[in-house]
Amino acid sequence: MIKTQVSDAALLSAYIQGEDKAFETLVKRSKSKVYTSIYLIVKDRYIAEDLMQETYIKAIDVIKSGRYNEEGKFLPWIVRIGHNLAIDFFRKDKRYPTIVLEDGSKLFNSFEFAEESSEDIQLKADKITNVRELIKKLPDEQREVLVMRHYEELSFQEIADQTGVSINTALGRMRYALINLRKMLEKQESAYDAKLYPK
Amino acid sequence: MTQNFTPNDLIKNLYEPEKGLTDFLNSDDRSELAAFQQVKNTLDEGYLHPSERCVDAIIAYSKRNIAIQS
Repeated sequence: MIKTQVSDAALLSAYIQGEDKAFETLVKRSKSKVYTSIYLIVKDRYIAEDLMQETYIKAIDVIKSGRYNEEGKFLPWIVRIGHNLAIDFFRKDKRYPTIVLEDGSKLFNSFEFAEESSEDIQLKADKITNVRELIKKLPDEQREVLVMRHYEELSFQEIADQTGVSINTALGRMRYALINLRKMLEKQESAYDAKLYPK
Repeated sequence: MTQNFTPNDLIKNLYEPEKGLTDFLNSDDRSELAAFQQVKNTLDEGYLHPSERCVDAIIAYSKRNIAIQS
């Protein structure tokens, strides 16, 4: 059986038409990318969750006010909102207000994480810290393209347009970014093996 | 039948695959693409997931009864 995935644009349009469930699907589809891209900046799960909520609230408010530009893609757009909020968090060093929903639950400052064990969280945090450290070691131009393509899901053409280079240059930078990451990962692996099985 | 692809073609195909393109890759290109895919998977493994509570709050907000202007 071939399962066809509904596009983000179709889901957004359904949401605008009043189908709430469509936005739920969009959130479930995009949440990890949005959350991770914020976490990569703020390095704190609690702050990242608060900023993620603010990101989606902004997006929902824009969509509901009819100001959403349908020409853009949803994921890069919402990742960009989250990215900007995370940067603002450091710039302004401000605390975020608590919004209380109709049922009395608070929207911000959600400090409960019941779904994952602390070991799981630590393991994941170590993994992402490691990946993040490796990405940081890449030359600026390579890192920029990698983040834009992998985490913000811009197409290579869009990256080329935004960074003012040809599509071939953008592709070349991405290629070297992946080659360099591969080398770093291999180096880490052999260092780990040498530690585990000394000669 | 195989066809030679430039290194940039492989990267483009890794992120923006065209249907059936990999059928024409030679063995060197296939292993190169597999190696890139492995790095891509490592980048994916690094994804963190927000708590259900956080996601539920967002979904609840999205369902607030405010008319969408068109």
